[in-house]
Amino acid sequence: MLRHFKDDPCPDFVRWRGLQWKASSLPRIGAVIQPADIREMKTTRSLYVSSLCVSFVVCFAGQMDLRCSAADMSFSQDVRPILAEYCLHCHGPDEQVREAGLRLDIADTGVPSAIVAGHPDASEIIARLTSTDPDERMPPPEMDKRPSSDEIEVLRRWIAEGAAFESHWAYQPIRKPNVPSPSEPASTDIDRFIISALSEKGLTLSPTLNRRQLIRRASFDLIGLPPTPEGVDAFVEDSSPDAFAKVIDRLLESPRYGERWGRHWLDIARYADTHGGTAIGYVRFPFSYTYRDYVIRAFNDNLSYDQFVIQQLAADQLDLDDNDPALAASGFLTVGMQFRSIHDLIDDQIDVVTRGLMGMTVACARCHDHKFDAIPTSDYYSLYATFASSQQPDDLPVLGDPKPTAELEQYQKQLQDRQTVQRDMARDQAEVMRSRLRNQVGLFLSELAKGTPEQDVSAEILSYRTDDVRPLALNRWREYLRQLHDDDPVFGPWLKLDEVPADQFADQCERLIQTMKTDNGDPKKFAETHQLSLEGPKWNPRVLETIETSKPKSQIELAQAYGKLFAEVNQGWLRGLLESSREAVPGGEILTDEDPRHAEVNSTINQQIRRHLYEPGTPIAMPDEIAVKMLNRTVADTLSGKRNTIHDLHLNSPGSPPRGMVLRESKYPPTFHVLQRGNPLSRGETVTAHFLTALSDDTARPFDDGKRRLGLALAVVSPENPLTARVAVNWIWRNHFGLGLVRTPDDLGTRGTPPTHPELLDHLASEFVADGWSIKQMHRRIMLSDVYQQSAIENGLARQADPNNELLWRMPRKRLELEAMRDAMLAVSGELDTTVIGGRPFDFESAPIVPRRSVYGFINRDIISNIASTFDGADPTSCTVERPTTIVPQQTLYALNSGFIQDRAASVAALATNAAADDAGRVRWLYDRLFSRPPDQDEVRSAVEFVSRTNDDETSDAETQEELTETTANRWAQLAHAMLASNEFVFVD
Amino acid sequence: MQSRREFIRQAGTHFGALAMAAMLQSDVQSASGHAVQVLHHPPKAKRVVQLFMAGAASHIDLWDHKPLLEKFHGQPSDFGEPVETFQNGLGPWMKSPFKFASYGKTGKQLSEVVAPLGECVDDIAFVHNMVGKTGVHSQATYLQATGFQLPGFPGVGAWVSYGLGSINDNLPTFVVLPDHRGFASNGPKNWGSAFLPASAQGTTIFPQRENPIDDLTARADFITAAGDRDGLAVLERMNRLHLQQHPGDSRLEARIRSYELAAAMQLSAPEALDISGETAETMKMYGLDRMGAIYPDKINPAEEAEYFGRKCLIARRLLERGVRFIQIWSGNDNGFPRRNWDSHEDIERDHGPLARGMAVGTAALLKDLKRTGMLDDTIVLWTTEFGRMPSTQGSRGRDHNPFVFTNWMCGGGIRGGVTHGESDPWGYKPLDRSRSTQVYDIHATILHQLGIDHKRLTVRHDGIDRRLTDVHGHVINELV
Repeated sequence: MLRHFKDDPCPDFVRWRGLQWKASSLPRIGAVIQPADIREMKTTRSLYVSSLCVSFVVCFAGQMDLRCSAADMSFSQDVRPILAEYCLHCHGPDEQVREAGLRLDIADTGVPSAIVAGHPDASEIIARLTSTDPDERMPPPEMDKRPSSDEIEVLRRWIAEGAAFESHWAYQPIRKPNVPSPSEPASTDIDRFIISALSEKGLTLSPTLNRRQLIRRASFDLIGLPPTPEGVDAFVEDSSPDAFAKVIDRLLESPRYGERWGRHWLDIARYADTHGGTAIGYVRFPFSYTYRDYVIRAFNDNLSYDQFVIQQLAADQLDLDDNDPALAASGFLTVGMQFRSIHDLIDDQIDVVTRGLMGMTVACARCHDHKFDAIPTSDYYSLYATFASSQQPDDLPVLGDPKPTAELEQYQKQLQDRQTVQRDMARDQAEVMRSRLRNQVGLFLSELAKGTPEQDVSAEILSYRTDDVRPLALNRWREYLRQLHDDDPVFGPWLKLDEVPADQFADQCERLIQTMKTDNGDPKKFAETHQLSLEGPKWNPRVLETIETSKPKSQIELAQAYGKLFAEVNQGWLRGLLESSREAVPGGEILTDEDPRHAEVNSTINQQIRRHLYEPGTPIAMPDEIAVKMLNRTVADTLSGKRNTIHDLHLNSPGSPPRGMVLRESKYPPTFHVLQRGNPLSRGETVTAHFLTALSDDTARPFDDGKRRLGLALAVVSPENPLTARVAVNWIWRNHFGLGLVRTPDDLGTRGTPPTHPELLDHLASEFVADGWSIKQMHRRIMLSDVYQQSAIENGLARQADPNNELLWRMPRKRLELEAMRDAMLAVSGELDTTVIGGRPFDFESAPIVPRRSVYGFINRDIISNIASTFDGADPTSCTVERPTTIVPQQTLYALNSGFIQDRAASVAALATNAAADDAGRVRWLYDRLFSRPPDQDEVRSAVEFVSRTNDDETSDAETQEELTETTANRWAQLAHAMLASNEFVFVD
Repeated sequence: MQSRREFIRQAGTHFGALAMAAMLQSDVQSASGHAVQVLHHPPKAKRVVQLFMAGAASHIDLWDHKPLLEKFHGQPSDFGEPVETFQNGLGPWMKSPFKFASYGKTGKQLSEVVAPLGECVDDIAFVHNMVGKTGVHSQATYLQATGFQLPGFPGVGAWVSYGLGSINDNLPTFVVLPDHRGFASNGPKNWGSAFLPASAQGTTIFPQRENPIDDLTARADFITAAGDRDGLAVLERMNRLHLQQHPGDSRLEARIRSYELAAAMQLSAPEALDISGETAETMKMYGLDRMGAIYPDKINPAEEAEYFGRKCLIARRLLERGVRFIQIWSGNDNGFPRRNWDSHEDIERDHGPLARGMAVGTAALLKDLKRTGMLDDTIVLWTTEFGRMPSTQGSRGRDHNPFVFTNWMCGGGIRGGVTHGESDPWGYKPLDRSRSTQVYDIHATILHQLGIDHKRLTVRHDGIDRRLTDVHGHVINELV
């Protein structure tokens, strides 16, 4: 009741005031209500607004049964949104900004005086919210927010009734609610929920829509195209009881269905065919289309939604065949914006999964605990650890078995050639890079000694020089030395002298070296360095000797000493290698294995030093793919030029087979940390990869290494996670009704709007899961309901009672989106080409136009097309859960003047001219074709008059019959143009 | 959303009314609980012109004179700290290749290449301690154009359009005049509406093109003036009939209305763009006195003046006709040969002609607005991506300097003849490193002049109340 109250205009408020007036005598929740109380309340209320008496009594009396008492005073629905709006920013889950230790999102005894259950007048929260003293007042004046008196009253009543907190509705398990039994007739369970809610307000559904409009609605809804006139007639004439069910089934079986609903899904998947983030021009994904086609196929095949989700998050972890077409599903994670920074890339993946699939705004927790929902920053970084363990491999798997054609053969040959060229350069240059880095130990140690702070290398800028500090390498040295133990024979002195104050450095250094020398014992033991069996000393004698001679007075000087030694040892090694190799060829001098001239190579002492340059896990022993990141700019540019030739081949070669944009996860992922305030350099506690704690029963179990994304996917679709099914059915509902049951579909959290029909939402969610997550079955359930089949007519009384049509007393009228509008124009003009499903994208701007369905058009994330931005196309920068709907003159300029619409008008006019012998017949044909209905007499007359008018400028000049025909054709084209541009064409009832 | 409705009601004009109809469309719009006041305080300005120099214009070669560089010219540079450079390192200190002289009552030093602005200098407020966040062109362009380094955020003009609506009924609210050679970094995303309604986005006009606005004129052969009129009439009839049969949906009415507006725009836009009626004197002032001249291939001041001047003149005409926000670009993307301000190789070669051309048009615009009194309520903002280094790059060019650069504002209640914030004697960083100015402050100040509290113009997106100034921004009180 309260929920309805909130949306009601004034009279209901009066009603409620009547109740409040008697608050002190009212029973508290949980108290036993005596019939006398009810009578009294009834009397009191009826004194105020007698006309509303019935609904009040029904609901309040119903408090004696369980269902109604819960619905009556809902914390989630009524109270929490108010607290979220005014209080939680500073008194919510975010510990770091919490003011005065007061927390108002959960029952918390931190400040007992804030809320005194049962006593609103004694509760400070009420006093503060209503105070006129700027020093007392909450929220503080600078927030510029004031709760309304209605909202204060809700809080008062909530406190009066015991101030019970409950967890947010969306996190509560999906309960299968009892289906109500309204007194009015209702065809389906959906209707029983809807009609019950309507009748509480004395409202009813609108009359059933006529069949012509109904099939038009169903057709646009399911396949995004208008029905054919023949289809309309067949439905109108079909008197069987399941006539509409047959229409629905036929539409669901059409391949056009996947093209329509796949496009809806691509909005969520922020699908685009270019990388985004390129300053100049754009870079195309060669294989984004394989993800788009996978999605379309999944809808057409009615792939169960849980499998759909699992495949999109972890197709590579499902033990599929290497060429399984379902591998393309990973595009969900990989077709997003290609940010320069890896942190932004992962943020996008976290966002699309949490907001897109679960209606949670987890990305807010990147820098701070979520201000309103129970999403701590550590949860964000648990998901970060989940995604950051994966990378896109260079070689993407081919999908299916491409037919062996000459084109394929040529592609494979070219690919091999170009890959060889690219790998040759990458391999060599990586080796050159490592070789240089081995000569630069002193440089890196000096930087560390200077205390150069760590630099974020997630978006590195390439250097033109070979002798400067590569931040990536410096980070590796920093990390390596951090974890090295101070008994290391080579870096022992370095580590032990770290943090020694400058004035004591020389002394302590000197002492340390002497102690170490003593530790080592007699140096003669190590003299025979050519002996392979020589054991390595405890402390490296060359290190000690170098330090002893150079007498460093600071860590920086020590770094230089180390640098000199490392360079010497490494160059000795390189010379030794060269000399040893000479022994391998005829004419070279052959030495015995332990010849003193092999000392450079054989020396265990040198080995101790070299291990820090060559051993896997050491800073410079890095894989090629890391080494090439540090190349000089010109070299790097050339190398990426070679990589681009491969990219071009994938993109443009006619033989290039489809490939899946997969991810590969490391079985041995590194340790991840919370990045405090989102700063990559400010590492906090370590995190494991696990699911959101708010949705896990007690402690969230870590995902298995190597299958973290699979763990995540299973958690997303787990029966314990109530969000996924709710978000999915809300999404399906929204695409039928234009509005969701939750009207903030990407935020089911505290800041979102509670559902208009919470029980219906849960009913649908549980049926959805019970149907095996079948999306097509959900379409049937929804479309066979009365509420779906009602008309879209206005009802003044109902509008007054429910201005936002939350109760669905009429069908919301929908405007065709960009794609449906374009496709519908091509369909009626007879030009739509549906012979090919899928494949590489076509260019919307090409001339002549490509008359394929819009879902196959090229989507440029870098340069948003004019038509997409004008007609509210989905912005592929991030997950679009809801497109804006605007009406701007640019749209009408397009409708009036674009070549596209004018050409369609000419085509459809030509068809009309041939379709009937007389003008009236042609007009009827046009109306049937474009509007799915016959014109009335006035419309026929007016249209015929328009096309046959002969006394205007055009025809007066037309001297020949030919010109006259042309002029008439133009008139038909103008008529068709007006019809395509009309409201009736672009709005669907 | 509520705030938009209120703003539009305040603006009370036709485009606003149209958008309002769309916003009020009851089936989509859910009411939110609290009303936002009409304009937050009395405005001093109504319109904004943003002049954007793509590629990063050098502060120390145009506005921010550094005598110290003359003294140390050619000597090895020492910044006293490690400097992150963006290309190949730092050469010696380099003085400006241009001469500086003092102008106006305050004796403000200006470079010879922007000398035409000397006459306006007493109306201009310079901010010499601007700092950026990145030395990457695309990110820096986003930052200055949208207030965020990443794509996905509305341009400043889109925010202003969203907040204030239109003051005309037949032209777009927010017009973008790109460089005639093409778009700068990020292209149209610099003026997109992102999560704001599409009505807030910038409309690009290329004045010199045959079709300056997309779809402004019909293409198909069968469209004739008379037929068009009849076609519109028949469309109107159909829509009116449909409306009668489908009451209670404001979107239907709004779309009918938008056809009328489109028709009005078709008539008024060509008129607004037609400069043939301007006097010879005006044309000369804007550098348009040699129209149709053949220019050499090499970048040259006369050609730059003609193209930039034409945009400035068109801007004045659009402002007169009630366009709310105009963005004028100088320089296209960062390619070769240089046709933008990214002078890594040679300041004199690129900055010379670009600046001379820019200064002619800009000075003409300021003087023209002042003459007609429009400067009183029109803010002109000159901005760029970042500044340039006081040292060379081993040549005669300068590398990127996001650590300090210059913006200036003029008109719309901004105090003239003042300087807010200084750079250090080298022009390397702010003089007072603890007190610099950021783009948020500029944006906050502009919104303030328009009567908007930058903290209160918000829209909820992805669960966050987004605003132009993110979580930053202070109105620069010294300038207002």
